[in-house]
Amino acid sequence: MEWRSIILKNIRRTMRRYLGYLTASTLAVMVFVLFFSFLFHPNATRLAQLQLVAVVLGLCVFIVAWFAAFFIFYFHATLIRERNKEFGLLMTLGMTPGQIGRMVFLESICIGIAAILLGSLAGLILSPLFFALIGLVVGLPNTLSFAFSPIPLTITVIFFGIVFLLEAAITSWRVQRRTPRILLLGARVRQIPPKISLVKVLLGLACLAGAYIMAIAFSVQFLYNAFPIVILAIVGTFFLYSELLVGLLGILRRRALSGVKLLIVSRLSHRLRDYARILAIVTILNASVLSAMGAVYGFLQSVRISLEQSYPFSLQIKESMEHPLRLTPDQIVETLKKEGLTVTDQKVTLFLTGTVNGEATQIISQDAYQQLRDMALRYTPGLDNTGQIPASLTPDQAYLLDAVPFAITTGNRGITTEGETLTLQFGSQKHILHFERGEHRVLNNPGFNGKTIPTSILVVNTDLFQKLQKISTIQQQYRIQSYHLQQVPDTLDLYGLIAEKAAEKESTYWLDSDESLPLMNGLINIILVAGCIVSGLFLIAAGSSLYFKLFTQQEEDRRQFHALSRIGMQKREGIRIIGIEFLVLFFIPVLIAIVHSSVATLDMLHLFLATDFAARITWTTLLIASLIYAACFALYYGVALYNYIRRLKISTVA
Amino acid sequence: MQPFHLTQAAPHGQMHAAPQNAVLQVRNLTKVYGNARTGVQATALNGLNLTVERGDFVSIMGPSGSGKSTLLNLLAGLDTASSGEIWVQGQNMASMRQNDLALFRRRNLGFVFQDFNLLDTLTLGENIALPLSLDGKKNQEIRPAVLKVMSFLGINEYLNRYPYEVSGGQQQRAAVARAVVHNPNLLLADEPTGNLDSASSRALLELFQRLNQTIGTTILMVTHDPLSASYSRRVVSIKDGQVHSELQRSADQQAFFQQILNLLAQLEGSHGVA
Repeated sequence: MEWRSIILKNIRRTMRRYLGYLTASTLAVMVFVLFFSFLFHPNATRLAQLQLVAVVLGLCVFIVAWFAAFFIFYFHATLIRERNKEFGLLMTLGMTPGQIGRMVFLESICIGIAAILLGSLAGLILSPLFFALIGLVVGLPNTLSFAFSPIPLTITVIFFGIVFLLEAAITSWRVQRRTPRILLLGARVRQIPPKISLVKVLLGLACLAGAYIMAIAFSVQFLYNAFPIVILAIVGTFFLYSELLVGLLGILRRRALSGVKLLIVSRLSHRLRDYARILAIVTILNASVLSAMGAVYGFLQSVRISLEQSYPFSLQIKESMEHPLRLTPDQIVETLKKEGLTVTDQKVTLFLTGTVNGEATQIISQDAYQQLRDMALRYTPGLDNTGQIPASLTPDQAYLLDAVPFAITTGNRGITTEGETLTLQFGSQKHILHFERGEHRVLNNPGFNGKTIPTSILVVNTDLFQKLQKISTIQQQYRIQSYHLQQVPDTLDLYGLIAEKAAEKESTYWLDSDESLPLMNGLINIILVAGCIVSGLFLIAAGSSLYFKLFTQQEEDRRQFHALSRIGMQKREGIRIIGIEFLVLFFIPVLIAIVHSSVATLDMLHLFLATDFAARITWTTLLIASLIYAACFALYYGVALYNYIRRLKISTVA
Repeated sequence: MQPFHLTQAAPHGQMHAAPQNAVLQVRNLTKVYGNARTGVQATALNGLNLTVERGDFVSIMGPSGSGKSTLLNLLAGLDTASSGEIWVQGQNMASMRQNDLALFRRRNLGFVFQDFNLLDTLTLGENIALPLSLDGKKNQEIRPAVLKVMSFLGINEYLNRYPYEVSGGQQQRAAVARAVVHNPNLLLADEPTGNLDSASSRALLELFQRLNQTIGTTILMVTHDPLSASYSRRVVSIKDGQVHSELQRSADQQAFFQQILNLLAQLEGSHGVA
């Protein structure tokens, strides 16, 4: 019963109240250790596939560090405020402000040490699993071995040590400055009815409108306006809760409301005012997660799909007939087979080069186009998502395929045309052709070998093509070999293989395969994994801070509901009041976050001049992320409501 | 500070002793609350004088807003006076600094609150031990004192129970035990029966009487309830921030109760509530 043991016991038992805070801090430490362990993994900088992962995780560590520092300061300050009565009592019993300060300092340090120890331990235990996951998502042939390095742990301990130490010092200093009367009587002070200030309402609306307008209308200046947008959104969201919604509830109150509705509205207007700060923070956290998961992931996903569609064939070799490859197409198939590759389909077609409206263009016949198109569709059915293939072309008709058909950004059109006709210049011949513009893939995106090849494709009537072919020079003739291969291993260097086995020194050829696709897939997967981990951390922090904040008002509610039950409130009505109140407090931040992140998504789509295709995928992902997020908050809501009602014991007083 | 002793002399006969025996002397105490925003000032205490002698059991009564709670807050050192002096055991609390005030409270005062104010994280025994352990006492000294006061108050079997595991009456007894375990010079009670049913209230007030008569604890209790006040030896009524009148118990409790009711009728009548 000595002072030290009593205080230690108080700290120990207080920890239960701090469970949410401790959990979130521990998770932050764990994520820090996990990501840092990877950054210091010997292979992280050695393997090309992992360098990009390291950049992504490095960025995530930066975000987690900022978040953790903010969260530790904010969440603990909230918890300390809820303990005012306890500190007031201890001061009344004769504890000096210095002793209170030391106790709070000790507590904060204990929580800090617990979070650092548990987080580091969890990080160490989970890092082999994390490395295996990274290896899996970036498609490493071998498992990334676990390599213990003391540096990540040291950095984590130093960083979090400083954060917790600073936080402990500031919190204890602030507690010492309070007087026991304020601390003790603070809980008993009557709540002042929330009054709204028109200036703040207008300020809030102006902030939100300013943020939205800057985001939507001035996306191009993203670098300059990103920070102001975030600040305006935070301030606007705070006033939205503390003024605007409280004002709306005030208007509702003026109407004649029945008993339970009146209670709900009046309690909510008080709660919204009290919770404005935490609701604003939770909303911003939610919006960050949704924007990150929805917009960024969705956008990258559309990049991946566009990449996939840019390479309808596993391998395409374009060769100049002037300086062809040493091997014939059949010999190349044999060479590929020798390397263990199975060629499931192949096609050899010709194309010519000419100029359209003064720009160099590949010209292919409609037959060749159709054959390539059929082959591409056989293996990538999703390719056929951009409309109808023209049935047949007359000699004065053409079909112009743009240079970067499946781009995620608009703007980069190939040949510029005015009116309904274009001019094809071939040697001395000139043809005026009616044309249609299309986005159907028949060629892989062009590779680069130091010599340029036109990227736009003009599909012409087969008869016209044959005429052109007859008058063409050898310099104008090219051959395309298109292959469909079964599973090309990431490690196989197709380019090296063809260069070594099939090419002469003077051969002019382009090898177009989807070699950047595995890298892109890896990047997207790693962003998904890292994003999920960081989002999960944010989600737990947002949900937990709301959850535990709600529970701090329980004592007051117990008294209020006890009084209400004495004047005839039924248990059912009590549950309804709390149920609706919690529903609003949990879901308003999600709803507003969805609105915020929708604006952020619009901003991003504008910034990148995204096509409808990319936009569709991005919006779909945002919708899915929002639904998942709402489901997680619904879970928090359910658990909070159940526990709260159970502990409120409405049934026993009714 | 001495831990709880049952053997301390009961100074019943010293009630009207010389003023130097006073545990508490309040002189011209004034407290003015000002609202910085509205600029409105309210005088809660207006030159109040009060003397409480060792071994006395005084009830402070008065209508709402008369300044009872303000007086208690000032006596407890929870608030600072606008002017005037508060002498407890020959020391002027008004001139003490925050740290000295804390040490003074620890050694000289005991508190019983309306809502018990026990720490949920500690057992009843640990809650009661707080004032002694705060003062750096060792376990060998604390434990017997806690057990002694708990058995005196009839709650010794709840030593290791947590506040939420016992009834309201038992919690309030524990709060009383905490308030007297260090034998304070003055026990301050703020509406101690406010949250108790009638049986628990009676038991608590009898306990106060027993503490006062057996151990000689000096008690100053703020209450609304005339029945609670009838357990004390003296009732001081305050109104508009000043002492309005005093009643000294001379006969049995029933008669004293009747006297208090009459006083209240007079107070409330002039207050426009009757």
